Amino acid sequence: MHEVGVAEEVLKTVLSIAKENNASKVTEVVLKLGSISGVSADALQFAFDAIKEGSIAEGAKFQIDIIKAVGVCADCGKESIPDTFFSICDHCGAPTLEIVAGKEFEIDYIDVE
Amino acid sequence: MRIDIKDKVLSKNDIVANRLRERFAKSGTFVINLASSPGSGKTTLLEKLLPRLKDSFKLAVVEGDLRTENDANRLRQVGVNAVQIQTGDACHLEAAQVESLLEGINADELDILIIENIGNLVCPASYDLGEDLFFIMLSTAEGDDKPAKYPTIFFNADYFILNKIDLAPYVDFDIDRCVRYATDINAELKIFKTSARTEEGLDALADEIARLATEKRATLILR
Ligand SMILES: Nc1nc2c(ncn2[C@@H]2O[C@H](COP(=O)(O)OP(=O)(O)OP(=O)(O)O)[C@@H](O)[C@H]2O)c(=O)[nH]1
Ligand SMILES: [Mg+2]
Ligand SMILES: [Zn+2]
Repeated sequence: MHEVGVAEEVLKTVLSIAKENNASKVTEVVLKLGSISGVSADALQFAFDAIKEGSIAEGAKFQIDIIKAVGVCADCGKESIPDTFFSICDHCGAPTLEIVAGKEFEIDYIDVE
Repeated sequence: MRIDIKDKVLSKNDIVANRLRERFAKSGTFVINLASSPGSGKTTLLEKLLPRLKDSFKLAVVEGDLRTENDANRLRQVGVNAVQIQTGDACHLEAAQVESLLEGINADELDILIIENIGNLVCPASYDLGEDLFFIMLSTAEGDDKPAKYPTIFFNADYFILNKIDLAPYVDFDIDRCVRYATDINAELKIFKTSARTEEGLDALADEIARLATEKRATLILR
C-alpha cells in the first residue's frame, strides 16, 4: 500500500478532531491495524513521523497496535490464526475459515492537551 | 485529555469509491475491476471476450497503464468503446481517475463497465474503484505458486481468471496446484480457466458476465 497517503489521512483526521476539541497539542495517537489490512505498520510509522513535523501533532507519540488475523471455522468452530491460507482451518483442515479479525484500520484514541 | 475515536479511517479513495458505487447502483451499470501482473493477457482477453457481449450490452472499458494509449486503441479496433488513463508512474488506479472519465463514456447509460487496472499484484488490492466485482487474473507463464506469494489480492478478489492455459504444458505449470493455493486463500473464489489465444473458456466467461450484468440491471426494475 501507499503508506504516506494513508498517514496523511490519519493526520488530517487527528488534526480535525483535535481542533474540534480546542486542543493546542496532540501528545499521543493510537491506531489499531489489522495484520491483513494491506497497510505496513513500519512504513506507516515512518511516514507519520515524517509528515507530523510542523503540525500540533509534531511531538505526538504514534503507537500502532497490531490486531492479528483470526478466523473461525464453520465446520469445527475453532479459531485459527492464518498467515497465508486464509480459508484453511488449522485444526480440521477444512476450507471454511471465516475471517473475523485482521482487516481493521482505525484510530483508537488520541491524547491531547 | 483522552478522546476516544474508534472509527475506521476512511481514505479519500474510499469516499470517492463509495460515491461511484452509488452512482452505478442508480444506473444499473455492472462494473468489473480487472487486475493482474503486467502481461497476463488482460487486454487480449478483453479483445476476444467483449465482441461476444457488445451486441447485447452497452459496454465500455477504462484502460490503465503508466504510458501509451496502446490498450485503448486495441479495444477500439475491435469496436469496443475505450478510454485510456495514463498514470505516469503510479502503480494502481484510483477511484478519482475513474470518476473523471465517466462523462466522456456516458457511463450512466452503460450496462457493463470494465476497468483494466495497472499490471501489479500488490497495490490494486487496496484501492476500491467502486466496482461490483474484483477480478484477479494470473497467467500460466508466471508460475503456479503466485497466489501463495501474493495472498492479499487473491483474498480480496471475487473471481480468478487463470489465463494462457494453452501454455501450461510448456512452462511446467500445475493448474490444479495453482487452483488449490488460490482456494486455500479464498474458498469463495469463482474460477475460470481461459486462453485468450485459442479462445478456450471464453464463451463460459462471457455467459457469466452477461448473467451478472443482467442481474444488476434487474435490481433497477425491482426498486
Ligand atoms: N499463448 C498465449 N498468449 C497470450 C494469451 N493471452 C495473452 N497472450 C499474450 O501475452 C502478451 C501480453 O498480453 P496483453 O493482453 O498485452 O497483457 P496485459 O495483461 O493487458 O498487459 P498490461 O496491460 O501491459 O499489464 C501478448 O503478447 C499476448 O498476445 C493466452 O491466453 N495465450
Ligand atoms: Mg493491457
Ligand atoms: Zn475446523
